[in-house]
Amino acid sequence: MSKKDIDNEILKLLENDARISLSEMSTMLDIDEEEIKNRIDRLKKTGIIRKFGTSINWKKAGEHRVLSVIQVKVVPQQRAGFSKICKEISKDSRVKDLFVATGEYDLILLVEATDIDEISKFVTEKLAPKREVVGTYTHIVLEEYKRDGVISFDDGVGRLKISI
Amino acid sequence: MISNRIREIPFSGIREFFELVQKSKDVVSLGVGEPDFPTPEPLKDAGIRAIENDYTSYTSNYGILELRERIARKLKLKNGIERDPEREILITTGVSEALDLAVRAIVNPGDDVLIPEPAYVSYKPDVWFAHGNPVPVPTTEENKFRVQSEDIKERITKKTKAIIISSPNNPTGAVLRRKDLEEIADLVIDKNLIVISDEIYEELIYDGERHYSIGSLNGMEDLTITLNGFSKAYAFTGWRLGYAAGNSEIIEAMMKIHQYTMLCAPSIAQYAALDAFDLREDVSDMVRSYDLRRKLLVRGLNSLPNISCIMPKGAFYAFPNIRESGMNSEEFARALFKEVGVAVIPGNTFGASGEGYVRCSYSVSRETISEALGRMERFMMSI
Repeated sequence: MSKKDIDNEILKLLENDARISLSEMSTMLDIDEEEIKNRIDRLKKTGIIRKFGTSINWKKAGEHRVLSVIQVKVVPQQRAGFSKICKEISKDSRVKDLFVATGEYDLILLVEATDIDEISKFVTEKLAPKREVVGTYTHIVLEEYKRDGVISFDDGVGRLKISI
Repeated sequence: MISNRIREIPFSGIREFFELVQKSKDVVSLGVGEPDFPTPEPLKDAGIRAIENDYTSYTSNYGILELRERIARKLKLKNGIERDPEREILITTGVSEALDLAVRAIVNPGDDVLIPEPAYVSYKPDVWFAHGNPVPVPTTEENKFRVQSEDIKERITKKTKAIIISSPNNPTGAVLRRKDLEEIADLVIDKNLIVISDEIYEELIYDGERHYSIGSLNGMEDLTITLNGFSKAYAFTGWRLGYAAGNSEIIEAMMKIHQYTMLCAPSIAQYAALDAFDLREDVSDMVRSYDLRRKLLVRGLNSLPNISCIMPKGAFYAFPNIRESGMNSEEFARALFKEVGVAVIPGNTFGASGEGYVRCSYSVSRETISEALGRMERFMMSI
């Protein structure tokens, strides 16, 4: 296996579960723990691993948050293009994801807030006043079926516990 | 009410124990015998399209020709077996049906059929259904559960008609090497027997081992019925799709039974499987994923007191030796479930030579393997 392949094997394991232990990874990949640790440190340092987080169903935890998808139409600025405004908006802690995309709108934001008022404030006070912003289209998320690659419902379908 | 023959045939495994496990809410089960992946999206989509396009009627008894042609191509390229898709390939409702047909097509009442054990649970009953005598050929851990040709030779009599081999093996994970198959082939040719070769786990193979089809060896073309299907490589178990390949005389005989009992394999599944052989990447990703979990489970088992486990080379099962526990395999499985809620399959379910072992599947998540190992450690410390 090449160096990059080994890194990608480690990444695949971590992508699925960031809490996998070094010893488990070592057993599965036939690489000693020290080397795995060094590789993970390097992957973190070089920004290939963005962060180790946890995907949480906050609704189940009894904490209500409002998620919205906001499309933003932007006039590109000379020299900076979209990058200046994208960087500015990204700094807002309520913005969970920000993409530049094709289509009628230029940016797609995933914004999480404690309630609708806060989303409203974000749009009217943060986005709207910006010179470059010529339009927004806000979708309030009503229900969540899958998040971070994990389905949020139990469909009761499962394999047999025993099959020969 | 029930015929004597059927009354005498036991259910597979310990029924009441399995039902207990099946109903249990918080069991950590290593007892599963199917992939833990969903069917790959292209095959699911093809199945949906088949329904939408009304490909829902009976098909030819042999199965749709297009699929038989693709199977023929695959057999040629991957297995070195040349078969005419028109008359030498039969599509069946899973390998289970193909196996039953193969046995019934060739076995006369009183014929012996050799079965290297531990083996999949339906081989023996299928021989009984055909009024034949199953003759177990035990395999041992010392030989990595690979059947030894001298053990086969010893059991060949005038009544011997066939031998059922399976590689990679459920439950031991053993993979027969080319040399093993050549030795078996020599005996088969010498005594004019027939080999029924169950190759359903062919794709799931590790550590650089290779799958060889006995039907590709010189002189074996007409003495082999090769059985395979889509369940294990393509996470296709519930679709029920398998196939048999062999000489036209045998395949026609099998088709005769199939025609009256099954008519044809499910049409939707047949259409869904048309592009299965193109999914090389999905298959290799699955194999890699099983491989990692295999190491985790087997090395974990070996770190437990009084358990030892050889590294299986194929399928998705480990077959640890539990003799040092002082229990037989059924007692072990029952106690393990009762005490720490871990389900495994007693080795004797797969034949007498499985006594002293249990089957543990690694077709479960890494978390499940780790949890099961933790619980098993507690159990082994307590006995």
